[in-house]
Amino acid sequence: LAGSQEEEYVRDFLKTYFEEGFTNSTLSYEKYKQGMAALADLDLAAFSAKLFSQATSETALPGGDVIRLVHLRELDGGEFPFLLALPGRRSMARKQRLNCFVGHRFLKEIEGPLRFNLAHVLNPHRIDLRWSAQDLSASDIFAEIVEGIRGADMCFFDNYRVDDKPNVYIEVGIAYALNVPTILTEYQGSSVGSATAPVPSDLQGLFRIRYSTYEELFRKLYFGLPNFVGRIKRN
Amino acid sequence: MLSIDDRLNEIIRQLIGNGITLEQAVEAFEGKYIVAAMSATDGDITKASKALGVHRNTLHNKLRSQTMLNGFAESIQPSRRRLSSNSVRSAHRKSSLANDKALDDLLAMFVDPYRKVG
Repeated sequence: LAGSQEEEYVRDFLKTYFEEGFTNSTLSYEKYKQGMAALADLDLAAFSAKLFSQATSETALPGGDVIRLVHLRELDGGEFPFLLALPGRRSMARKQRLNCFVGHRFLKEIEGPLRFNLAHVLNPHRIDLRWSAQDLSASDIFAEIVEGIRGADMCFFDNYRVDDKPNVYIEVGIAYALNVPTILTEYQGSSVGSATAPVPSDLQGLFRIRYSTYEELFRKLYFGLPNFVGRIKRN
Repeated sequence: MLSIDDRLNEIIRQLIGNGITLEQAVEAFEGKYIVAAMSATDGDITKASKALGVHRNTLHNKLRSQTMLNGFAESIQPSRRRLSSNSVRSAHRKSSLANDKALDDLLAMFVDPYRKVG
């Protein structure tokens, strides 16, 4: 990205964060207003340039918090920048580890970028990922999957290109029956491919994210994460 | 040739026509007056304060205001920047720090919700 694009990207990312945070009740109206006003006033050029130019792509804030820039992978094979908000060591030390069971269509072009992105976004927050049918040599894969979901604190399922092999909906059904908090991401179609068939109505009522690009998916996922994890803890 | 009064009246008419308030006009005039005195004394605060008839601490405090410093920076010649260059750098530093502080606050708002994740 060129200098002005870097600044524009950071501004847009944070703007979307404040809007989504306010919409999903992570942020109060006052915080939302305060954030948007600061974004309108602040010169972000130096900060953006520093973030994009550093080899480590991290900026430490007073108190030890860190803003990390990572480059995630897009559906069409491209990349997009993404900002992570990483609390300092003290906050991190207090975090409990969460296990997340992940299910999606097993295609090379999905497996690579989706897993890469999830690992970048969730692992730093101590959310460990366990892939569906990770152990393919298991004699009873179905039982493995059920046990995997039962032992998870949360599940993540994606329906991209599951039309001709909708196994992922079975996994969603198991998570639903076992009452494991679940995020279901639904591909809505884009220049890369047509929309996947709608989610069965019986499975509605989960934390659903509709997306057309991975950039859209991962922003919605990341910005909704505090609220989702908060609900897990309350239950 | 126009008298000082006539020239002042002309300036005042222009200021009023441009919607400049009395407070803004007084501030601008004071700033320019001080800048002229500082310029005439090569940035020597003690001499300038004597010329202006104010205590040097008063002048020092007035020079601290960013508006005043900007005016000074614009008016003074490069060769006479002995005091102003430091002051202007200081003003820029303050402005930069203010931006940094506001940016830190903004980014802290971004990080806060993620303390509870995990």
